[in-house]
Amino acid sequence: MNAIEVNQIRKVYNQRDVALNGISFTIKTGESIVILGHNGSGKSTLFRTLTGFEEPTEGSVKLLGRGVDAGKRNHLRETRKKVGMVFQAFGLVDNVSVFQNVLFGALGQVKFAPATYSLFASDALRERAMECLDRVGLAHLSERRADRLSGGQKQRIAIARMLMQDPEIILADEPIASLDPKAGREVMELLKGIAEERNITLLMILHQLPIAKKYADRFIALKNGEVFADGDVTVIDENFETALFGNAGPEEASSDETSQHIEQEAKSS
Amino acid sequence: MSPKPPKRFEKPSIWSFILILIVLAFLVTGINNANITFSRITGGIMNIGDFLAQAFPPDFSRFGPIMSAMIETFEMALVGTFAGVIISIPVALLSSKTTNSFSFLRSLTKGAVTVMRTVPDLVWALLFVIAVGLGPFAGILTITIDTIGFCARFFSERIDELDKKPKEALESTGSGYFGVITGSVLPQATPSFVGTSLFALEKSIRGATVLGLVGAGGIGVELSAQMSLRNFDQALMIIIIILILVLVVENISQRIRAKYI
Repeated sequence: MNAIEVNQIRKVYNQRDVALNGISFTIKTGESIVILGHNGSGKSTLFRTLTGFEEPTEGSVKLLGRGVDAGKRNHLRETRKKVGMVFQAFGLVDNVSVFQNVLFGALGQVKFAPATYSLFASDALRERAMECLDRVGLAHLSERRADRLSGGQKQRIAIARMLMQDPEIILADEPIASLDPKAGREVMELLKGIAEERNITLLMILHQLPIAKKYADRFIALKNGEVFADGDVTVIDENFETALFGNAGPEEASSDETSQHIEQEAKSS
Repeated sequence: MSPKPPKRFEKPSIWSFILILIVLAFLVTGINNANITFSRITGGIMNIGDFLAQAFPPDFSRFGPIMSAMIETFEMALVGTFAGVIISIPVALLSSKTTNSFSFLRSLTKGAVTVMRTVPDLVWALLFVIAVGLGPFAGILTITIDTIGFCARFFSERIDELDKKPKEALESTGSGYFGVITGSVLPQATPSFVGTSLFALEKSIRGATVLGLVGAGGIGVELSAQMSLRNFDQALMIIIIILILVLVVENISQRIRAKYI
């Protein structure tokens, strides 16, 4: 079954700036995919279109067989309930506890929003939140305020919050771009581990090729808003890097510490 | 040769010049109409001296009834501020672009808040005295309106400034509008709401002490009566009690803000 279907997506801003130009692909349940590309290649616009934060100018997106239509709020909400999202900037509420942040992950499932407040949440929900925290290895920090955490811990809490949705798809937008190498590696291992053990479809948006090779089965490369290449990550080599990123490519693609570190690890393993 | 530096003085436009002239005209006529003379200033200082001479020592013989009026004033301020803060939350949500995408409704709410803020509280008090009669209820309504004018504005400005990422993250879970409000907007804004509410309470207590002058309950009635009867020693006692209450509330409020916000 296809978990994600993207059909001829076009996104044009101000009637002239073409961000996406006829993107199409399908992703099967359980696949781990990386969307690659330079800054400005259309990765973020694609992510926002997939998640319904942007409406495509043309074309359609289906997640788990349901259409993603930013204009139909209730329909979009139903679609999003089984789609977990991980953001570069974590999106935690800084001045409440870690536990409370994880409980907010159940907001899409409760009829009355305050039922996710720690004070009012059911025992079952509270226990599930602790299970999710335990899965990301941070159960011992449940009572700490979110703004007292490191970047890596924050991203793991955001993943725990996403697990509250019991997702069938995980969409991760540059999940390690703000993290140090060690934290970046832990987050990637965590995402990959969760996806494998639960047969979750994992779509990550990255711009680092070594990380893509290590943690994904398949890549979709974007260039100038179009699909440049789509295939198995094993075909990624230096020629491909040059073709995708140009002459400045490999340096820029691996410009951050995280990707350099993971690249070294990938080579040595 | 190096380029010329900018002019020291930019000539104002004709409209700016006219505006400056109008303001200057009002300033001059205002000073003139106030009839400020040296003899009036010295006379005023003498009169204050007379007042203080008659006011000292303050007369505490009516301490009981005055304290009960003071408590009534405090209660008016507390109830009015509480009601105002509670009403301000939905009003602020309707006034903010972050939480209300309907521009017409937003403008309507913002307009109502502006009216509440710009009409002076004594004018509201006069209106409510006509509407519900003399007494503390008129005072409570006045303080409620005054608090909404103050808090709703600052609450909505705070909501506008909030980090949008947690809101987007919670929307992505399939949460509805109220889920996003309760999960992201309110928790993030609460410290600022509490700080603003404490300021509103301080402001209300100061305001409540004079509402009695127009019959809207509280200690203002007592103060007005004692001043009119020239019982300055009793008036001074009332002023001292007001001062103590305002200072105590400000001090507690400051400590709460310092500790939790």
